Amino acid sequence: MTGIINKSLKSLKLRLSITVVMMFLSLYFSYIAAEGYDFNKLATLAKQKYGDEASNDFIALQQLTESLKHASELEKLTQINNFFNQKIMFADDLHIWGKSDYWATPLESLGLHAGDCEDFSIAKYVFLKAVKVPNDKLRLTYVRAELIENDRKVIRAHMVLSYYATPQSEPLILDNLVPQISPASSRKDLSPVFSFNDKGLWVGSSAKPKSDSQSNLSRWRDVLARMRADGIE
Amino acid sequence: MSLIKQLWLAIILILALASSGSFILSTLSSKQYLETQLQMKNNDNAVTLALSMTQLPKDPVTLDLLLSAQFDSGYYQYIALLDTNGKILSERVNKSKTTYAPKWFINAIPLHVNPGIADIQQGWAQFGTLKLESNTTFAYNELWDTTIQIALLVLLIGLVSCYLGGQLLKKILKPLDDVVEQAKAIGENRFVMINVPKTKEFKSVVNAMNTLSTRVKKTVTEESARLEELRFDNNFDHVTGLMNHDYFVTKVNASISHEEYFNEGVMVVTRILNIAEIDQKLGYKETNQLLKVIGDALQNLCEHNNALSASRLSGADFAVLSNQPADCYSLSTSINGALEKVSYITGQDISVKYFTASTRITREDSAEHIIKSMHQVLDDIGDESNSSLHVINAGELDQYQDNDLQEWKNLLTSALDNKRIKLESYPVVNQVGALIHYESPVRLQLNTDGKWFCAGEFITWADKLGLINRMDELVLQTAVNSLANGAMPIGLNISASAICNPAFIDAAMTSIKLQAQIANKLYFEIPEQSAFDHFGEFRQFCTAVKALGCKVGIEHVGTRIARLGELYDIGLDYIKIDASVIRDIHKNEANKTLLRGLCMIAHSIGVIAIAEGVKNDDEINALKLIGIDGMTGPGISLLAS
Repeated sequence: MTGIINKSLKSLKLRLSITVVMMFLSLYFSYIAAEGYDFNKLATLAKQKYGDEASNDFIALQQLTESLKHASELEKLTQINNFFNQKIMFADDLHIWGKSDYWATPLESLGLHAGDCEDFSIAKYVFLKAVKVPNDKLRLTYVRAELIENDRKVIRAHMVLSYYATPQSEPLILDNLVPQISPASSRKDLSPVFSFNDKGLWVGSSAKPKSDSQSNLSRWRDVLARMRADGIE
Repeated sequence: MSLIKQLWLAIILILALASSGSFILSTLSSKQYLETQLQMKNNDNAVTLALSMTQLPKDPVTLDLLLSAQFDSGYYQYIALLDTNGKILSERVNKSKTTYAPKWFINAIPLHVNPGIADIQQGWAQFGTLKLESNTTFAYNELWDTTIQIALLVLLIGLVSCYLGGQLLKKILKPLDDVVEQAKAIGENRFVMINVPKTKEFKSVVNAMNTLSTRVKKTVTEESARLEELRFDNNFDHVTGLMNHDYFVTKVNASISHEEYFNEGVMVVTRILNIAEIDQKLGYKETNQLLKVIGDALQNLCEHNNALSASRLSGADFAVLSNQPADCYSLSTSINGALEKVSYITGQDISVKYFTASTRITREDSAEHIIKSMHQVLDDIGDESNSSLHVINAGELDQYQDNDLQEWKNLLTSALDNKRIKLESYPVVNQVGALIHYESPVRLQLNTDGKWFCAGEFITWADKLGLINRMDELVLQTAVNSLANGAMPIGLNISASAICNPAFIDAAMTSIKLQAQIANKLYFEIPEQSAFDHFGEFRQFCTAVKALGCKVGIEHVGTRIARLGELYDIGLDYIKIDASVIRDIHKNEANKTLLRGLCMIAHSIGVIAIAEGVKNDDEINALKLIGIDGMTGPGISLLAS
């Protein structure tokens, strides 16, 4: 009788300890994953959702970030800017997503090889952070853009990524309209309205939102949260 | 601690845990909700203000105004405008931090909210950073109010649940009370049966105990019936059902030798003179029937008078004993009256002829002697006498009547009024000679400084005068008082009229309750006949005094053995077996068997058996072998210990 009990206790103990170990392991892995950019996950997801080409792009992106580890910031800016400007075609949100304004994650943009201005800016912002460009130097900036369409001057709401080498310096503009990086002063077509990054967005020291309620998410927080699900911190 | 209390405590504990858990959880979730809301407010307000500042001219006055406008119109703890190097350009701090939530509460549940941060730009250039913190006072107030409300609600729900839980528990455990009562009763050798409750577990317990009770009842009933048969075979005449000669002699001797209760009595002997003639005419069977009718008539007389007992001494001789003083004439006459009724029922032209002699008997007499001399009288004058009645020593009867009723009343009343009462002490010992209790018959001093009278001398008068209840109360009070003063356990004789008198029982209960510590030293004993004649009252009396811790016994057990089975659920403590069974026990095999059976019955219902009227060592040794638990009588003295 006691033997049976002991045995079942033992197996219970065993099962418990396995469970505990697995819990810790999963915590450990999620910690590792949360530390940086899970390119494996991105590539897998891209393959599942968008096919081999998208997956290969992420592998290329991974190689690019690897190679940029010790490069100068200017080099990083150039390479990342070029990568996304080449890979993503400009398209309207309405056209891609059937919504008038949708902030896509880099996985979505790169997967579909299409995005509008904020999708470019978000992707560049995120992967510049991935190659250790300090957050403080980067700003997503709403700009008023004067464009010439069909020989007519039109004004569009636009978004670019600004890079401030120092807080006081003139920013460099990473834009999809003009593929080359250029200082703000040379971009007479753009007038800045407001800029932001993800500083102070999350509560406390935690990098995660305290509430999962969708109603509490701004568009910016929403896309950041979706990115995290894709494997981008 | 009782089960119901433990379960109740468990319920309270569980409720307390559950309520405090839900209380803590709801407080924490309130706190989290408030934190999220505050954080969002900080973020949004910082962004909105930064957006305004970005669009407007950046002169210090405008910025300051904007800051003031925001700060003054909203709930802010702190708003600061920093330049790109982190230097404060302008700031507002709310210094009046007044929340009515207590300090410990704020310390225990602090709200962690980060300041809202937003950048201000001037064209492409960075201008500065805006830092904004909302005032948490109202949040603390809100949290404190919510917490108090929840605490009160939880408390209310907890109290209501406790009350309902308690009620439910009571309902569930109600059958348990009965089960416990039964178990207690069986523990006290009251083999009661109760209705089977519906709860499964209780059901099996009660079933088991009921089975036990049934078995004990069956054993006791069967055994007592068997013993009754045995007793009848040994001691009774098979034709008439009256006592036989030998048993009658023992009985008379036992009565006479009972110092306490016997003072004087009357013996009546009746002879059927023409028995041979009747036998010849009617035949054996019819004659026996006639004798049975006579026997029944005498038995009937005895049943109406506790003092009487009847016997068929031999073929044609019947005897009646009164162990209380009585008038020889009137007793004989009533016996003749009974015979008169049956003398013409033979159906033949022959009537029963009889002659009755009676005599007064005193303590000095012996049964054998009296019966012998009465036979002589009957032989001498029976046939010749014209009358059917002869009284021997009639003259002395007058002496006995010396004190008339009024005088007795005066004497007894004065003795009772002045409490000229004392209790005698005769030891009742167990097998090894240790004291069980002192049998304590009452003594009254009728005349101041006069002789102490024993119960046998005045009890008949007290009964006639209706003073018996007063006497019982006084006796009890005396016993209680002496026990309170440290006396050894006392056994009191209680009369039938006392146990039938609710007023006496009430008074007794009251006086015992006043000295609750002596209750277990108080032994009440009721004569067998009284106990069975007033069985309902006896049962109530037992329940009442046993609840106080007193002991109850039946004395002079010997004639109603068949009814011993009824005692199984009373919780009796002891029986005292009548001296008529004990007398010469070492020589009487039949009585030995009877006594063994009585002990067995007694022991099977947890009652101890005590022998009365033990006279000598022969009896003592025989009784010890039989397995009697206790002894009392003239041959018993307490070993000086």
